[in-house]
Amino acid sequence: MKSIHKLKTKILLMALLASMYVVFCGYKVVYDDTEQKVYDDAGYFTDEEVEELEQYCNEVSNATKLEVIIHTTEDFGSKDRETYSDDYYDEHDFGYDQAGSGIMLVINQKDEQRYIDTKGIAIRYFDDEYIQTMGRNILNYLDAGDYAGGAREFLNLVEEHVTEFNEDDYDAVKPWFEGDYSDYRDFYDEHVKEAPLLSHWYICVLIAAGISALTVFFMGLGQKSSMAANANTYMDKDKYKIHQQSDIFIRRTTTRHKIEKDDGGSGSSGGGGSFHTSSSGSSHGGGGF
Amino acid sequence: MASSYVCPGCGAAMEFDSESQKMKCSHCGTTLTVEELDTLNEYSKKQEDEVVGEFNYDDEKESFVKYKCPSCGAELLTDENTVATFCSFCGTPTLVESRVEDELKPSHLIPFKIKKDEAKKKFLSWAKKGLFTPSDFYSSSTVDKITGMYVPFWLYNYNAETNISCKAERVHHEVRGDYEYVHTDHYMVTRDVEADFNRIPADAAENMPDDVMDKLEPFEYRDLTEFQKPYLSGYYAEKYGYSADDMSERIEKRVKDFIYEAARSTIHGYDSVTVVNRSNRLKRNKAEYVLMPVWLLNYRYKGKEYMFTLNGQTGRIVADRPFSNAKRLGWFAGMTVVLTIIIRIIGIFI
Repeated sequence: MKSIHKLKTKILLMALLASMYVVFCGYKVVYDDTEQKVYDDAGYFTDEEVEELEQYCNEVSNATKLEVIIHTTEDFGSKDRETYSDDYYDEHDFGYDQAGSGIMLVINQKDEQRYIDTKGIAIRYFDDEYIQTMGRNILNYLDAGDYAGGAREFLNLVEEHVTEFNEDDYDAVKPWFEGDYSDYRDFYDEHVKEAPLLSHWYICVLIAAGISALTVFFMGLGQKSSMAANANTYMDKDKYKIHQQSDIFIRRTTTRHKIEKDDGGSGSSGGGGSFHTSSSGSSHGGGGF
Repeated sequence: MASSYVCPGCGAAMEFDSESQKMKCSHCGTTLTVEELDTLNEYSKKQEDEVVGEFNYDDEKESFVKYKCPSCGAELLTDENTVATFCSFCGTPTLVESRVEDELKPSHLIPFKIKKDEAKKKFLSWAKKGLFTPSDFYSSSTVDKITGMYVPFWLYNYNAETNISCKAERVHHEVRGDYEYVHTDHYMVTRDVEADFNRIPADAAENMPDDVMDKLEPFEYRDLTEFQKPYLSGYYAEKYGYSADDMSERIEKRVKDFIYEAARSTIHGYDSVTVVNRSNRLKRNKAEYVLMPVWLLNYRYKGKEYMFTLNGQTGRIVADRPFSNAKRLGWFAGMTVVLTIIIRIIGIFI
């Protein structure tokens, strides 16, 4: 009797531990609003502007569940803007959740290089096309010398887009907040990537039935006898004569058409932006402008 | 008159044996060559010539003729084309000689090479091979009914010439920058080709389907032997129902196809060829009347008539099989299941 009681307690304890484990493993916010959000290494903003942008970044972050970073620099080192941005983001360990969800605007006006870097669920929110749209809008301000205006525009667009996205299609990102993804790639494989055609049974059955029907049909035909004799069977080869033959070129006609180039992203399809793996091994999206 | 070839040793009927290509007595085993027997027979026949009578039913299309079996004396009824048959009472092979004499005498024949047992075996193995063939479509009594028959054929000799003009196209693809260029070169192609076609066979029997007989070709002409009546003993045979002129339209269509084929095969290297004009000149040389060996088996399955034919020389089979829809469905279902699984597995790897 006593041992059974003991066992019960043991099972209960284990169940409790297991449920705690699930909670522990789920979506986890690591965001800290006291940390720096604006890294103005190039000195494009005034102190007031930095303060204002810092505050705005935090607002947008809270509304979007994405860490939002603004970074200016005039020195990419020897890296290209994509690698520089990825590395900068990873080195600072930015991110709203455990997978580093966030978006970062990088401005280098000296080299006329701008980049928007996305990580985590932000890759899903911001597809390549939208990043280019954002780029064009921000560029209008930057070209006019209004750097703070460009940064504000960026923050506006991020907040607006994510809010709209969540209203229209929250189901597309919902599993992210219910799971415990440590990298966007896992989420992509499970929820974004379109299942290949052949993974659907009904499509396999259709193809198989089609091939079978054709095969059975042609096997039926193949059982019919056909003519075995032809002109060669009865022709006297010695008396065969070609009296006249001519092949006269008449004219050449030419048509041309443009070759459609496939300029899709890095092979990932099914919604959301394209992404790549950074030097630290995590998945980043984004685009330059 | 009807006659049989009688064994000089025992008096039983002699038949042509395709294995030894000689005449053989089934009773005492005596063998003679066709020539020996023919001369022997000419001599003995003179003494017993007796016409039993011919009845022509003029009001009907077919005329049936009565003969007396030379062996048992029973009356045989044959249709007007029958040359060689068997007495329906005693089974003695019987020949209506007047139908292979004078202007009705074939110039050559190809003797049977394939024996009845071989023909049966070929039928049985053919029947087993059909994937959708119902397993119960023949019985052993059906197979026994397989009959060897000398089918009358005309062998035509033609000299043919054709003149064809065609529009031909050759297409090149070229990629320059962002554009793909498709160049189409247009040609006018003409050919004038002459050829001789020798011994094109066409069956002249009224009750043989032309397309089946055409498919039994080719016969190998090296076995063509000068016609002698004893070859027919032990088989069925018919005389021609259509003269060489009757069938000229049918044969000329074939010759036109042949000469076109010969001309068309000289045009190479184009992506498309369209014949715009074609003129033919055909000249028929003499046609020969020959008999060709064919094994025949007619049977019914589920109310439908089927015909199995076998080239008695080369063994080529021309036949339609009964189809079993249940077997067909079974194959379809089985293949679909297996393929579905295979495709699904492939789907995992790509």
